[in-house]
Amino acid sequence: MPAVEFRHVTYSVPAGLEDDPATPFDERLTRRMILDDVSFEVPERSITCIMGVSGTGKTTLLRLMAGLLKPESGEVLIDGQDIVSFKERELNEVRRQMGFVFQYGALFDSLSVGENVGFGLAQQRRPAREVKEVVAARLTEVGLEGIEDKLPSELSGGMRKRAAMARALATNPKIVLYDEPTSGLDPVMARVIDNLIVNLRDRAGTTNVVVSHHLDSILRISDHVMMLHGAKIVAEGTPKEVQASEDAVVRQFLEGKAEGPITVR
Amino acid sequence: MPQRQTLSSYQLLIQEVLVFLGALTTLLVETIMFVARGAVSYRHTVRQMAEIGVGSLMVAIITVGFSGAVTALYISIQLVKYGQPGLIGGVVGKSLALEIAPVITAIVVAARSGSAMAAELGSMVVTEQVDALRALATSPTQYLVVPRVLASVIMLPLITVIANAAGLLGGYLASTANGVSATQFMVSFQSYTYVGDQLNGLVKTIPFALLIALIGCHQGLSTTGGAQGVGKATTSAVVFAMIAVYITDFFLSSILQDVSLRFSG
Repeated sequence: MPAVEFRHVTYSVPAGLEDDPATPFDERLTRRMILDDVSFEVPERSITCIMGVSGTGKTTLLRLMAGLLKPESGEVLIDGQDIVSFKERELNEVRRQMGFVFQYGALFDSLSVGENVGFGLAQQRRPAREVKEVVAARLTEVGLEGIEDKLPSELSGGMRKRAAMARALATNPKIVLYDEPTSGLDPVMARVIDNLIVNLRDRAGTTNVVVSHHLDSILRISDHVMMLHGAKIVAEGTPKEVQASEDAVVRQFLEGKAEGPITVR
Repeated sequence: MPQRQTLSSYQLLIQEVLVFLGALTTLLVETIMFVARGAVSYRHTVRQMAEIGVGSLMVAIITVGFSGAVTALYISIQLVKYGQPGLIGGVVGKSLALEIAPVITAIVVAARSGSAMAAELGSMVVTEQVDALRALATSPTQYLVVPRVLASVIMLPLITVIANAAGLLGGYLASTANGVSATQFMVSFQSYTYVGDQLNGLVKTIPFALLIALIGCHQGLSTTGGAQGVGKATTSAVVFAMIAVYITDFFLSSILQDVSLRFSG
């Protein structure tokens, strides 16, 4: 059974208002398709990368997986259960098995790093000593030992991202969602994060979904790659298969050319 | 068709107001449910109480203190002219207890703490911290809204009592400077301002506190966009809360006056 599965998922956002006063207001609202009847599977214990140019809806895809957004139609299956009709309380049960690493970390800036990392466990009312131990272990794992008492504002971008990873991993999730884990980081730090993701899969057997546009990092770490473009999945397969793709959009993205079917707005 | 255009924009406004009131009611019901279930973080509530107290107390003392003084100033000039200095303490005391202290304190708290709630929650929304909370299986209402609403409901009556005392002191000083004797003021206050008047004013602070906190939190949580969105949320929180306080004040006072008249025969 796939860890995550999308079946015919459609999602759009309001795009604006047509400038035609004669038509009724409701009919003038236009919508922009983010996902148009998208179906795919994320294999268990894999590193699945979703690539695509900025603004194609990669982050939306992750938010749909965590139930932070609801699709207009289609099914989002997590471990075989369709979460679209779930109420917030049921969603929270699913989310306890899930870790979400946000693009800019999204650490709670009123809490210390230690309180941030231990947040999920503290909410589950685990004993304070256990929380403290897990926090120390997770921070050590991401190379940030001993910074429990610092505030997020005192950390650099790379440290924030790693602290956010530690927070997402503290509850031993089965599925971890990463939103641009290496963007904005120097090459050394990017490699450190890549290694952390691979180690986690090997050690804990987690299913990892990584949204990224860092090509070399995608090709290095992933077992399974998908490319999202124009609200559709235009390529899917192993890194080798995708690299061999003849699709013009995929070729332009892989070769990083300014000219081609991908138009930049 | 310009006529249709106008009609539809009025309809839209009414629709928006109803949606807003619906959202506030939902937030209130959710908050009450969490409180009833005992899902309250006392640490966060106490922290919010301190924020509101530290932020608003001095401002409330100064504004209500001077409002009491200016009220006494006008009234004492008039009543001394008509030979009724024995009414001044009562009029000032009643005005302060029934209207000036609760309403001005509410406006101060809305401007100082309601805006801070909208700004803080709004920043959390735009930096994905609210999504991070939900991803960590925690309800933003429980974690963010409940402590703020409770803290406001506890603190606003307390600040009002202290501000009321400051207003009386201001009134006393302004009256005695305008030819009213200290004894006259005190005797008049004691014989014309009843405990019922004080309670009447204090009862009003509870709905005021609910409105200020719920509107502040709602505007913060529904922030969209970046820094500009946070600014808009903050401004609208103060404006909406002030409008809501004044409208509620009128209707609530009508009801309370009716009730107190019936009880006093």
